[in-house]
Amino acid sequence: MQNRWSALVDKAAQVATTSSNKLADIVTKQTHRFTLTGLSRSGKSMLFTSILTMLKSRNDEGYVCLPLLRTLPPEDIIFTRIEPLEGFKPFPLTLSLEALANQEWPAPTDEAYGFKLIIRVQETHSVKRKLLPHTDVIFEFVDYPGEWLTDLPMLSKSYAQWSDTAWAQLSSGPQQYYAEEWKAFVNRFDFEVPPTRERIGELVECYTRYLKVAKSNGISMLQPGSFLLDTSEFDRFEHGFAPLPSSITSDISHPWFEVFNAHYQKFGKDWLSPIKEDVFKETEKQIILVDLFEGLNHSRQHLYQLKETLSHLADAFVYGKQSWFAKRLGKSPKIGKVAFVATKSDLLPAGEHDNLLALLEQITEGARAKFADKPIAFEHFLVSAIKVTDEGSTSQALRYQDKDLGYVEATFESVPTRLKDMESDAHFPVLNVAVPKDFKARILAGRGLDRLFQYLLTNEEQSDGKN
Amino acid sequence: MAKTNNSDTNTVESVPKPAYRAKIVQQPLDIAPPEQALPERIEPERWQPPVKKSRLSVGFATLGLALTTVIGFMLFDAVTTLTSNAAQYPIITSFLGIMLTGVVGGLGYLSAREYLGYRRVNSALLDSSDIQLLEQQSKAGESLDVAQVAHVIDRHGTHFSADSYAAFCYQRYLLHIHVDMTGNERLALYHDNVTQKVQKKAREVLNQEAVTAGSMAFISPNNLLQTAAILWVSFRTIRKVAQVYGLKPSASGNWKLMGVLAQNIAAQGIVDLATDEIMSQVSGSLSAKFVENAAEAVAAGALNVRLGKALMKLLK
Repeated sequence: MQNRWSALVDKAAQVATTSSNKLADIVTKQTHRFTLTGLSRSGKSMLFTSILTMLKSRNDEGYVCLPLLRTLPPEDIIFTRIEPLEGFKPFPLTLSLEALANQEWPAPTDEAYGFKLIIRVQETHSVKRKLLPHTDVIFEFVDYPGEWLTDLPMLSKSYAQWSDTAWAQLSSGPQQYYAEEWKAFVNRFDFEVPPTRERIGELVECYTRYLKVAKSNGISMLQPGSFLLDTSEFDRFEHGFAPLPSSITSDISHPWFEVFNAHYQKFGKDWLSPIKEDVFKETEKQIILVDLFEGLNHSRQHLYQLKETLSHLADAFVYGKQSWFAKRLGKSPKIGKVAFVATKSDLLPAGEHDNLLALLEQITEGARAKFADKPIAFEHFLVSAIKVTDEGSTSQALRYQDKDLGYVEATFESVPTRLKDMESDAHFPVLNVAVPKDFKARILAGRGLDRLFQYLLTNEEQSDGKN
Repeated sequence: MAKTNNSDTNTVESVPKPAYRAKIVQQPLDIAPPEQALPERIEPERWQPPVKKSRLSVGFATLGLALTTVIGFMLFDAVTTLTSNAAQYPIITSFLGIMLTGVVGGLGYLSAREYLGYRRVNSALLDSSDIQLLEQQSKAGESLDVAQVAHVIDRHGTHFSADSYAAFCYQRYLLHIHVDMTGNERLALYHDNVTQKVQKKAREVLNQEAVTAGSMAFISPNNLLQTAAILWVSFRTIRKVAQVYGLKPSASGNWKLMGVLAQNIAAQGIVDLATDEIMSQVSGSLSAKFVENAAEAVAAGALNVRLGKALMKLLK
């Protein structure tokens, strides 16, 4: 009788525990979907690799990292799990880590990857713990080629508008030097001959060559960015287009205008719109990654162009605050919290970080102006996903291992805090850094990701300014 | 088809290749790059209250000396009673003098130690209030000076006794600190890793002790033993909670706690009287005795929690 009674009690306790776990599975879920907006080479893939490595090492191996991620204290985390995100290929974390182990940087992203990071956190309140023992914090990340992002503003332009803007851009600023070949080619090109597949191919190929050369020389606003990716599913040889001189775009009956206009429409409808719908789904939080070194590496003009590019990109997203009811009613979310992040901050001595942050704040002015009249919370962050440099002999110096595996000390002049303070004929050449052998320890020594995610996970209504 | 003039491109002029002056000077070094060490690892929490090794403490030695001295004087009195001339017994007089010196020295040492402990606790409490003030400023959105925060926290951290839970948490806090952290971030980390955790652990210890107090009260056959048991558990609670905080309450704090303890014992006595009276009115059965002891156990547990909370308030 006694055995039967204790078995009954055990069973009841088991059912209660299972029920509360299941209830917690259903009820207590916090899903954070981030739009991670970053131009090509801004460090998106490395950031994903780092945050996953850090969380795993912190929770499973007990390493001290991400100390400022206070909303997810390691002692309260039951497990961390990565799951695929519906509709996306899984993020190739293993390949990225293998590349680092082979002392190569992870390959640039050439298609969209998605993953869910599920962190199960135990309830600490003794009473709540009985009813809902845990909460699942779910991060949904999507990695994609930065080149796609540059193309989004094209959706809101006609072919003629885009073509005229593209001509104006390639005829000014630092890119005009790299556009010389393209312009000369167009100058020689006989637009009186009707467009054929081969002639369209020639024109598109020459324009793509310009895009590639300009990209390798730090130009950020290059459209269509999708033409830069050989893996792109859009057939640029079959349906390609290029900007045409205004003498042609002003004549809508011109055969070249007609064919490029049709190709442009197809590009928008069959390629860009599905990407925007699937990859750039509207979310509540946005991380905008900015590689300031891409600009500093070249010139002040490049930095101004980066500022302009960010400003254009902000047009492609919907900002605003949503009420609790609107969220529950399933209305399309609006971005209510934005983090502007300057990546690779370890490539500057620590003493220059305040200047870099001030520069970042100025670079984002145009983008911020897009939501200046809305109650959007935003903040600026400096992040190094992997610490590849060591302290130098002075506060203005740092040391790193270059790609020839020599150890080099680089001494920096002061980084300007305002764009206008940067000399027009000077630049900060980017350091030719090799992947360190001790990459895991250096990922764990990375800085700023904890501040960034702590900010994004907290529910404060509004903040401004610095980290 | 009309001849089209590619007018936009006719203005193409040779643009000079951009050339910029580098604002970085690079110099190869003849040394190998240092290897980055992996960060420290946080081991699972296994902190237990330290067990004191049994040894003769100075306090007991002093008590022993005092007793010896009393006995010595009694002997001396006895000897002087027996002999009319004390000067005839110089050895005994010297011995008693030494004993007296020992007692005075021991008492002096205990007083000095209590004074130093008092100073240390007061200093810790002062730092604690500084930390609370900084936390208020941080909550108000003020940007705190890193050096000031680091100074206040480091000073507070040095007061914890080495084997306490607070010292254990403080060491963990130090593992998390990076040079690039702001004052506000350091303070928040200290709050998470030390203040909050120490409070949580103290509550756990207190809950355990409340259960012990309740159990002791429940099984005590009479009021005298019950009072003795509660006294014992109360002293144990004070010691264990103090071990968590890494601070010993000062003499004045002890007096406050003694006041709470006395109130607890009085309250427990009233509970005893009340339950006895109720039970005598109801019946004298075994179940009535069970209910009476259970009520007393609950009261004992609650009163012990009261004592512990008074101590936590004192040390917080």
